Amino acid sequence: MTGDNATATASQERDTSRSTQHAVGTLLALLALLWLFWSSGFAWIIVIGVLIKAAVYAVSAMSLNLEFGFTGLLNFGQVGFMLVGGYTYALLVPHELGRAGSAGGSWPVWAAVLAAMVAGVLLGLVLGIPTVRLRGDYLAIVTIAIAEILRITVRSFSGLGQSFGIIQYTESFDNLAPGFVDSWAASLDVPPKDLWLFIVAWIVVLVVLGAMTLMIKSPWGRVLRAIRDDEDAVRALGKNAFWYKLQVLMIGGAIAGLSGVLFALDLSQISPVNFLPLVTFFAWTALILGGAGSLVGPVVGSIIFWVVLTQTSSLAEDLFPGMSATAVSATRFILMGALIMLLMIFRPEGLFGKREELSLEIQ
Amino acid sequence: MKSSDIILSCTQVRKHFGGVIAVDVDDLEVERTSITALIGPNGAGKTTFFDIVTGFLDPDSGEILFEGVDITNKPAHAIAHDGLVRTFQLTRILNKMTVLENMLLAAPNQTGERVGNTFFRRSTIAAQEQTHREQAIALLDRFSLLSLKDEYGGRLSGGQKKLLELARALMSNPTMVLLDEPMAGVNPALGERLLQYVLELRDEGMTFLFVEHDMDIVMRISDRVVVMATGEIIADGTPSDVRSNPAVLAAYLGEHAQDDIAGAEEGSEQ
Repeated sequence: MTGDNATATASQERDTSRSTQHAVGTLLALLALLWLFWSSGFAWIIVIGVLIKAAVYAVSAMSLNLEFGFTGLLNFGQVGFMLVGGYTYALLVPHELGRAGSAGGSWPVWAAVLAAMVAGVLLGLVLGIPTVRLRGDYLAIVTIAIAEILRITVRSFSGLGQSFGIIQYTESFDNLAPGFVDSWAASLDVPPKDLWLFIVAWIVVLVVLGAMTLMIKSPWGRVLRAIRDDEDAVRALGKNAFWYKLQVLMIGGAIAGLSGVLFALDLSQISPVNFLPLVTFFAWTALILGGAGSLVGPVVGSIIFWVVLTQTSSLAEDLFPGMSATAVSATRFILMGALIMLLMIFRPEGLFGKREELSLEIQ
Repeated sequence: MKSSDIILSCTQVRKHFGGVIAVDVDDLEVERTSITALIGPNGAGKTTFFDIVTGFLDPDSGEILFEGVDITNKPAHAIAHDGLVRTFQLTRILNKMTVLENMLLAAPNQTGERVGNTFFRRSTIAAQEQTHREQAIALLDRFSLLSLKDEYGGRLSGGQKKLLELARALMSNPTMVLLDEPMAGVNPALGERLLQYVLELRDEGMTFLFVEHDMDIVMRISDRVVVMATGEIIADGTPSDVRSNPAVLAAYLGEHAQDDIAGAEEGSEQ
């Protein structure tokens, strides 16, 4: 009887602290948005530009969240999945190869998006089969290497545009914009294609978030969390941990491929230099900020990450007057680093993560 | 003994680590609906043998049949799925999941374990979850863990983890359970109830093979005792046979064994 009361209190306390945590996280996200509006002088073109990037990385971070946050798989080659997705899309829809200017591609947008996701699935499968049986660190090493191999390979093939990349592939997507986008864009004083991409990107975020919620809050998701905790226990209970991990890499790959499509549409021209390992670590930062193992965490984390990264230049200019533009640009990363360090010290589970379930062990 | 009564049969099972022969079991058969104890000094190869039988280690050679089916090279999850489930000497509770989640995870053949079904068969999944929840709660109640159902696994004491692991193994609906030191760290009163429960489950048709160091328990509940030393089976028989086997006393139990076993005998006669 007393046992009952004690645990009831324990889980109630957990719920209370969790809702406080969520309130704080939501508040910080709202503050970040406010800061974005204020520091941009309420210019929609800047706000929408930053929020498109936030959406691209939110999708990418959600894919990492499925792999790491819920299953414990370390993927440090996320940019490789985004490259495969982005290049597959850009090469299938009407496009031109950089410098050579040769045109090609005739697939409709929807088919190319699907193909980009399938490409992500295949990469996950190819990566997963040899590595998923091994300890987590091996997957991390292999993924980081594969991403670099892909980038350097793309750079050497003329059919893939070499270092000049691919251009002129966004038109078929831009043309899909319904009529109301033009009038809205005019009233907000932004290019219609920006507003259209903004709308589509955030719809994708919501759809992926919805799908993730259904998958994670199910017996399937429960098996993933169990694998994250202790794989042998899962095997001892008759669940094929290897197959689950492979599924996660494939589904994560599909989502990352999708984020690669959005990434390519946002850049409007892609070349290997856009797919440096830095992209992977931006996505990881967004995930860790928001809280790995929380469904909304990566979305909020990505918003805060991009607001801080893009809006701290004015702060840096104020703090250190007369500094060169290069130095200002570098200062943004220093500030971001300081933010992450503070977070790791005071809230290692991120804004929305559950400390009991997952925190990066820093002690 | 008719061969149909044999649920698990191990023939010529060998495993070595470097120059050490860890397991060298010529022949071991376990009868259906029996409780068999596997005893032996530390390092006798009992846990390694468990690992081999349950697919966590591959043997160098040998053949293992479970319900007449060769499971020698099957992966661990497939063996568990066939109904041969184990617990671990060092418990493997999922620390970052609640006690109830630990239990629900173990339920076999869940519709919601297929990712496609999580989108399209939600009502079936919800109904199954409800059934599994009721089963889990009944089991937890039996193991005095019900009040802890919303607690994270990592918060449990060592003994509670042992109990949860056994409850969880039963949740997976096994036909045979391998228990690695199930009583270690469990308080005696609760342990007693656990033993009664094991006996009841045996009478209902479940088969148990367990490693245990507490001689009192071994002698009291086992139908049969198998003694291992340096990887080999050195004795095999009823508790009273083994108790009086001089080879066992010499090789395994050592000088003080006589006292210990005599004590157990007195205890069981009371």
